[in-house]
Amino acid sequence: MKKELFMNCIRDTGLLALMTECLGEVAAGQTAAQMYLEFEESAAASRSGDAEFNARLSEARLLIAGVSDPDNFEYYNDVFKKLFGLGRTLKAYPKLSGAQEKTLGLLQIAKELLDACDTVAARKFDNNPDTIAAELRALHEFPQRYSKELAEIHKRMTYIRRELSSLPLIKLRFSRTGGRIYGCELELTGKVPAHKQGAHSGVAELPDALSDELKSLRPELFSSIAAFCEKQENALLTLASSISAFAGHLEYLLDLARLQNMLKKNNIPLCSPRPSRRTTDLINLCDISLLLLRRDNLGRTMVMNNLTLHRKDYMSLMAGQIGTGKTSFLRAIAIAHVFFMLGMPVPAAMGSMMPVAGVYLCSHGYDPELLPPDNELRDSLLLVLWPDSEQSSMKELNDCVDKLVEFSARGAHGICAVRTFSTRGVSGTVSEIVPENVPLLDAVTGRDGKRTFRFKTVHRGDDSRATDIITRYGLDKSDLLLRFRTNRKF
Amino acid sequence: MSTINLLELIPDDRIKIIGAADLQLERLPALVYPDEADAEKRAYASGVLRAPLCRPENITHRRDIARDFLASGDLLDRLEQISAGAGDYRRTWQDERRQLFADLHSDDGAPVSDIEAKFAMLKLNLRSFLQLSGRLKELIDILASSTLYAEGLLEFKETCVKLYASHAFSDVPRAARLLEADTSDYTAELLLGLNESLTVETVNLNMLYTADDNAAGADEYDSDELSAHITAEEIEPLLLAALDALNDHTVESCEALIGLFQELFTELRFYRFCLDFCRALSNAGSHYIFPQVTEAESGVTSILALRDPLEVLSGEGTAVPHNILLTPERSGIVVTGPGGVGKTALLRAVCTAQILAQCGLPVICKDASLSIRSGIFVSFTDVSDPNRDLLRRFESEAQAMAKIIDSLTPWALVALNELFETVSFADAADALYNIFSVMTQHNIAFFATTHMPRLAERFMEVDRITAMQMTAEGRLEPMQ
Repeated sequence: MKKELFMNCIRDTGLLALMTECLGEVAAGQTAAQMYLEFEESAAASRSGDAEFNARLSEARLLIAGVSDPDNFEYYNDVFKKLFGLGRTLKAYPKLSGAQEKTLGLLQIAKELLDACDTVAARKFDNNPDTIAAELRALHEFPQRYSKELAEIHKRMTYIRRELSSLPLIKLRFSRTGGRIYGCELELTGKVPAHKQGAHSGVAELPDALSDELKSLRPELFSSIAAFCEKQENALLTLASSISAFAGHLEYLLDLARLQNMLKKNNIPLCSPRPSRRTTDLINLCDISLLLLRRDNLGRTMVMNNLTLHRKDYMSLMAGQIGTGKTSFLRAIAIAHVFFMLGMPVPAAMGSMMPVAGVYLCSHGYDPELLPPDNELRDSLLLVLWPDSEQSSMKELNDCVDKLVEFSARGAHGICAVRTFSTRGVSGTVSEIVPENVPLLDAVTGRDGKRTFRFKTVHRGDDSRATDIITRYGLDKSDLLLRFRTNRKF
Repeated sequence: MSTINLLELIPDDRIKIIGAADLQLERLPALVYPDEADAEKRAYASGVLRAPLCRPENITHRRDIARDFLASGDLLDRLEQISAGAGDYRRTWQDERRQLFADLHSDDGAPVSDIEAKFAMLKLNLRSFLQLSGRLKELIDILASSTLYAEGLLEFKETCVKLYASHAFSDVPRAARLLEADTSDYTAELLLGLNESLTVETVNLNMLYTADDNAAGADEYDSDELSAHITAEEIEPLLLAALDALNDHTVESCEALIGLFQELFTELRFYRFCLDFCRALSNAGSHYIFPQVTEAESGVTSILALRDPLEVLSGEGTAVPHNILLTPERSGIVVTGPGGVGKTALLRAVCTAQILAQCGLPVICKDASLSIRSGIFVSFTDVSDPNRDLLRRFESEAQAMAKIIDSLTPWALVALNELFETVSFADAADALYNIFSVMTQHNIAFFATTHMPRLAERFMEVDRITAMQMTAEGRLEPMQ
């Protein structure tokens, strides 16, 4: 799938806007770009076969679940901050000039490397391959794998730290009269009294004179620092760049975790659908882009729909009047497929899903420019909102059905949505012209004529009185039991 | 600095209440505070009633503190007095700082003298710090002069004492002297720490005024002297950094103290409402208790001689107290009876008691043991338009019920008043039967009223549900 089309899809679903709100503009852009790479890798794995796809999906899910776990999130966030800081220092290092600057730069890298490794090693994991992703295992094992090199650096740095800390308190005594400072004297003293430590901290440059005095006071210490830097430069730079390489992917995973947390906070149901080659079947699918409306507790009141797509069937035809939620449903389906391919939990209660080669969303009307060539449509998810034309809705409908059949023949699955003008819905108008083997989804209208934003597979001749109302609101016994079973709180 | 924690011992969530309007809870604050001038207190009390807690530990915590306030006469008044007005104090202080800043800076924002400006600001901040620390000392004295049993109040006293003894306050005498002194001439010392990048991290600024001071200060350190020639220009940035740090520290300490008094005042509002509510109940001649509240998983609502505070305080309604028992084994009650005997009032009383208990407030009864309910979901029949098509009214009820079911959490309490009364028995019975059965299977307690005796009869044989009838005299009896 072309990156441009993937980005169109991410933008048109509202997912990019949602990520921007949750992560900020820069992080959202970076995450979307990484999502594309991950999506493509999953699609490639899917083309290679079920085993490859399932293995990749499991690994991606383990990665995301590992970082998103509330018990781990802060840990990985701390690790990321350390690795990111180390990466930034590494990047700045080649730009330093002069022996003193280079020395200080390397000391900083050594400090940050040890700090990062300490942070990584602060949590113990069992590193069971069934529960922890390979990439995270490699990160956890890094301090152990390079323990010998790190121990040497640690030893030298401990010496340098200890020796430097025997210097640090400098007492400057001075007098001041009428706004002028004069009569200054300097002492280098012993340790800071405990009750003064960290009492008030600020940062200032060390005057050159003081710096020179320090060096002349302890020449052996400063020559030892220089020797350490010369000997360990290569090892330090190699180790630091190896461990800081984890930062990029970790940042992406943390962003996904933040997105996931935002969904959880809004009570959006999340599930990990079973991969299937034949059917996509999702219960209570939510359009998370509605969260952009910023209504309180929207997740609890959001209308959810069920989705069924069969590989062998034609694409489905969805029909409904303006404002019945067609676009929203299509967005929900697109986001669900993107998330599924990335290994992210899908915003639905439960289900199974087919892997896809691409996700194409034409929410502003059918546009050939927004679709890939014929040979790339196979196994892709295609969601098209057919353009409106009030003069001849029947002609539009015919065109839409023709195109739907053509897309299906090219191997795509998905939904073409068409706007209807009759309040009689599908059973009254559309179903008469649509071939019987094209599945139909109809917008459900309430008894009071109001929109429900729900869609149902058409069953003709629905009658409804009290029992029908009970069924419509899911209050019959089987629906009640299903609701409790799919409610994660029970 | 520590937070106060008079309202919550441990972090807590708030339970969800759906249909609170049907319970008429907003009438309760109006009955406790009938005076128009108390609108703010009424609004606060309404907020309290909308936010029942989830943790029994916190409810016990509130109860114990309320008991101390009830027993100790004017303690609450004195604490309110000392904590009031912290916000005004902050505004005045900030106005003074703005004014001083303007006085010491020229029109283009540049300071007349960096060091002068920072010293003047430090003096102003130190003065506020001294005043606030004096108020803290007074607060400690009030707490020390009262007999306290509640862990919450004892811990609060301990927090204040520790705070007053902390390092942040150890500089108070020195600060006082700085205020008294003429600071145009002085000697000072800067204690500077170095980090590993050989950059200075300013540790402290000590003001020395006399030769004695000077000598006393020198004794604190192991001297390992080294002379160096440092010019005034080199010292100035260090001194400015130290002054900035000291100023920031002082402002932070003042803000923390103001925050402490503000937080205290805010938290005391709950106990003011609690005491006023108790007083109103006493004046109405009612016996109230603070119920025993247990973990949600115990699933018990056991209340002996329950009365509705709305009825008691307004002097309306029946005076018949009722006994209520819900357990995990029998977690639903269906009450039937003729119209106007008090079924709805009882349903409201049960929910109100649960809410009051989970807020840490008293309940009018002889004895009560209530487990936490994770949510309270109330649905009353839609009677807004009696002429509306019955099927549409039924549909709106079904919709409301579906919404409740989607929001349910384990160990919630559901109260249904005359649900589905708009349709025939045949249409409603199966639906209600299914809803009640499924709820009890999932540890949801419910209390339902119905005008259909046949419906209540249907539950007589169901294991987990108690069918009851209310007599014309308003007594509650098991169905025979």
